[in-house]
Amino acid sequence: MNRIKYKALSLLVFFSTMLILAVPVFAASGTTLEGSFKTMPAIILGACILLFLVVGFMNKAEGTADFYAAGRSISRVGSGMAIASNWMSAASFLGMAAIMYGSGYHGLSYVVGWTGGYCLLLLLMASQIRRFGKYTATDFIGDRYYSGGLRLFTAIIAIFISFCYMVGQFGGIGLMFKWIFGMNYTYSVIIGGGVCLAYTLVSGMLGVTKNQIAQYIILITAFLIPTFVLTFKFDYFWLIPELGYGRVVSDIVAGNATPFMNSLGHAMQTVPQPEFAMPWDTATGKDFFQWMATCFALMIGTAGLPHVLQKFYVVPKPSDARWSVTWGLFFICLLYWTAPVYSAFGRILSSNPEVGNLAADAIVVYTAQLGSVNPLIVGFLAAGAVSAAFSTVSGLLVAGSSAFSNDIYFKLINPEATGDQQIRMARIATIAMALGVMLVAMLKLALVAQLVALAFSIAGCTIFPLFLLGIWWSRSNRSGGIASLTVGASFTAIALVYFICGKFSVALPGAAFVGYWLNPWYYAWIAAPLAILANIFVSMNTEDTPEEIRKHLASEVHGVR
Amino acid sequence: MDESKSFDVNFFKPSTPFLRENIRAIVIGLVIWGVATYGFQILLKIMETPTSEAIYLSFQQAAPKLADGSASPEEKVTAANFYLSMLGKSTALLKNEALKDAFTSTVYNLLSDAEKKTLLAVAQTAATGEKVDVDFINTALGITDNKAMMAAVPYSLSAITPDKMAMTNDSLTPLMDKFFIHNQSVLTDTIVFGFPFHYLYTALILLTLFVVICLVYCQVIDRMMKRYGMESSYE
Repeated sequence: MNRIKYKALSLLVFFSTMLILAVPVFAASGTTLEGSFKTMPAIILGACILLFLVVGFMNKAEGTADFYAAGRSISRVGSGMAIASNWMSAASFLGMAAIMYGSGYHGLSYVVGWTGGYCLLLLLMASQIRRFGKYTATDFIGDRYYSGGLRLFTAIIAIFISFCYMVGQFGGIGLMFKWIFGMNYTYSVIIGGGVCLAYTLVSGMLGVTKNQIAQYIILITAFLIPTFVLTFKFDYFWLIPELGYGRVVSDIVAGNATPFMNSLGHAMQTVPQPEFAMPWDTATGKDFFQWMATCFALMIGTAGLPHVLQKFYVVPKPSDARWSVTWGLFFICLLYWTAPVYSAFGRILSSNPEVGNLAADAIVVYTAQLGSVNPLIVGFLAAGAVSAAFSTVSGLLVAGSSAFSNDIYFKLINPEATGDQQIRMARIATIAMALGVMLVAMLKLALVAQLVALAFSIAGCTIFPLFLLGIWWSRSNRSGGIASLTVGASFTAIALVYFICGKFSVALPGAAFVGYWLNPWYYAWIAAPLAILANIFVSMNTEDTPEEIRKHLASEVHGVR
Repeated sequence: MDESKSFDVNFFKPSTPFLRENIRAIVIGLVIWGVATYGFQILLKIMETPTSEAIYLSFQQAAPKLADGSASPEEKVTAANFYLSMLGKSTALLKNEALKDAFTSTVYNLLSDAEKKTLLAVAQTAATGEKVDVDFINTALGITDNKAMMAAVPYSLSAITPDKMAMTNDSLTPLMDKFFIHNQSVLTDTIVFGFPFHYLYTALILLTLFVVICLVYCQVIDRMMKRYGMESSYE
């Protein structure tokens, strides 16, 4: 016990020192948007991380039983907040505004996709998954399709999904560290990632914490306050900024003059830019099909993400599973209703060519700066973005490493492993994953939201079809499951190979065709239906599902007596 | 055989009254969800008409005269304003040399001989990134009350020489189409709470509807569960 505390404290000291050391090294003066060290934001960020750790220390869970008890003592509203805080990452906090800032109406397909997916999840799966009564997505698939191979395959895919998801998060962390400490992106990713890894190892030792509610409240407050300030300051309807920014959108479309200026002294006005709001505008380079495909792929991806599905196993009752989805969606929407406010203000405040090219992924923070929002509030906003990424990354690192140590190492490589050995494997896996993610994040392959969208497409065409048919069609059997996963994984492989080759300028045949129809952000639009068809076709032509599984499905999940 | 058949679950062939009712609720929810999300976008797509911005239409009228040199001063002002409003749309366009050449040529053609000299000097300086005084251009273009347009002027000048100047450039037409033709309809042109309606719908109304669908579904299912005595083992 003491040993753990000692280790935790030494790590804590390690990264506080890192933060303090960063001060003189990267200090620079200036009033530009970036490139300088910002003291207050740095302090606020440190304080937020410390707060989460302290809350974690105080609410240490002693074991699985405590974990479930914690679930029981939290109300539906509370577990809704926990779902929301688990869900909201750098992609929600920074990425969505970024993609709307650059691509206008196309960005709304992300907003709609990441919320509408919850309807799918609730209507088709939430309480059924809870009634099935397993503990993880991997367990569900392994048991429902009675196959150890499928369990392993799903575990690998789950780890891969976590990996892609985290690359986006580390990109966001890197950008925020770059903004706060004024150093270059690569160092930011290394230092930000290092701090995040240390945070995960510390909070992992603390066990499962109850501080997700605290995290949600901090995130949403940090995100909402600047929008009130912006709408109030620039004389839009500020009581509900989510409605008030409507006139900003119209001002951008028409190029209307406003009597205000940004913090650099430029007029707050754009030339007429209907491309910011008009649907699938050619100026954004995105068309109608891409809007629909992105939206659909994100929706089914939401309903297939292992770390989202896992949330339903820990609530006490199926009706709690349903209500917590509903509350969760509401709390998520609070952020999603607000994100376009930043993109609209960002567009109109950064229109002067003198502002130059801003990193779209940091536009949320730049917007607050350009709108002369108090630096303390801007710092809080940046700290909120980092905590959003931190909480998601630590959750994913823990999930990924435990999938590795439990589903792969313990079940396959070394069934005689002791508890200590498993924990050591999990730690090694955590560090290995974090390092791998950091390396990929440094390549800066795409926008944060797009990288995360890739994780959704993978989940949408591999895990979602297995859950959908597994729950709603008892005839779906092991062979069908294998066929479905093979189709999904093959499409993933094709989309990824073409994407990576394209990034490194290797010409492949049909690159234009694949790049458009099987784009990594949305290829699940076709891969998922084909995976479902493969499952149906193969299942129909092979042996029936064993009776005990059909019986369990019918009586426990669907109440057939 | 009959015994084992009763354990079959199929979304499209519900075997018990509870399942039938549950699936009906799900289908209703899914239909509302699908129509509200995708139906609206399809409607938007069906109703849209590619619409040019007004300034682009004026430019297209003036273009032939600009090419053969018979354009009036007003038409030249229109053309220069059009080029400028295109350059102001994005920092990427500010790097398009052909577009900057066309803008600079048109402004050059508008000015008096004395101002022409100033323009050439100013354009040279602007190309190096130094700050320049462009008030005479703003006045000539009549944009002294449009701060967004004025801001773009120093960045829109190119160091083109008088012998290469041309007020039109056909290779730019696809780019103009790309930036000045928008998919508009009554849905995008109606303003509600300051928003273009389609934007308000997708960004706000649709998300609210998602929450409402979830809320109603939860209520309905909770009541259904009570009626059928399902989930009672969890109470």
